Amino acid sequence: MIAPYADINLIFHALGDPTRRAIVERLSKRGPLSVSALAEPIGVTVTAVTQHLRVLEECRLVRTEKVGRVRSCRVEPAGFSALTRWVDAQRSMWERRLDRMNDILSEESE
Amino acid sequence: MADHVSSPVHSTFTLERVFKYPASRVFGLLSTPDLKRRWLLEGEGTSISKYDMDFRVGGRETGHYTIKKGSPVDGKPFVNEGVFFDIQQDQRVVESQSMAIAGHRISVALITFDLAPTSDGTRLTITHQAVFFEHADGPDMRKRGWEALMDRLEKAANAGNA
Repeated sequence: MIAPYADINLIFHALGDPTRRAIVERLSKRGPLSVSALAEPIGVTVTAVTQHLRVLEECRLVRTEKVGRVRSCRVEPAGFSALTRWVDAQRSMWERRLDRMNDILSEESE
Repeated sequence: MADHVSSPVHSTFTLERVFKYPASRVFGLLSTPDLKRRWLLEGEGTSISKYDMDFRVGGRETGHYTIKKGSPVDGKPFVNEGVFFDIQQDQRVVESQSMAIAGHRISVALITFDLAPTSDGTRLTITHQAVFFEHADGPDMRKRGWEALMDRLEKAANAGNA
């Protein structure tokens, strides 16, 4: 199991770069993809994509594996869960309670 | 030899929210046990074994629950206990609320719910004054508490009205 905040610095560093965000977005919509299929539409070299993928793999937003001669890339849920947990923890429990109050009130008026 | 007793930590915060509903409806969230159970304890990864509320001055509120996997206090029994001190229909509720984890009381709070009509609904102001003790309030929980506090400070600084 990952500690709740273990990867968060790496995750924000990784997502702070527009090319890496483009890689994650493309893999979310189209994945899994090979490194070259990933590089072409984003308009960067295979070498550059490989470097970006290493950063994304390190914080577990993306996973790559060699299938035959091709490296296949896909999104990895672990990093996203860590990100979600971090965001959730930033909202106070009482803010969430107020949200739930509003949900109950709007249900009642239906 | 008794456990080391550290200095208690005090914290007060205020939250405000305007609901587009009349005060009687918002008050219903505070006075109806089934509704209060839902917004107070449900939806936080909790498994609730007991929730009782006797909504009158001097009446008690009790919640027994555990927090599901992934939390640092995974599986430990939580007990919330409170007493209502002031109830003004559609206007105000003042109650105490203590929290214990695995038999150790970690905090006691005085919570004021203040309802005021606005042009299009009701403004609910929650003032939460609490003292936190040692024991089960481990570093991680303490950290979360402070992060939430910092979040509120930041919001207040940025917006003035969150």
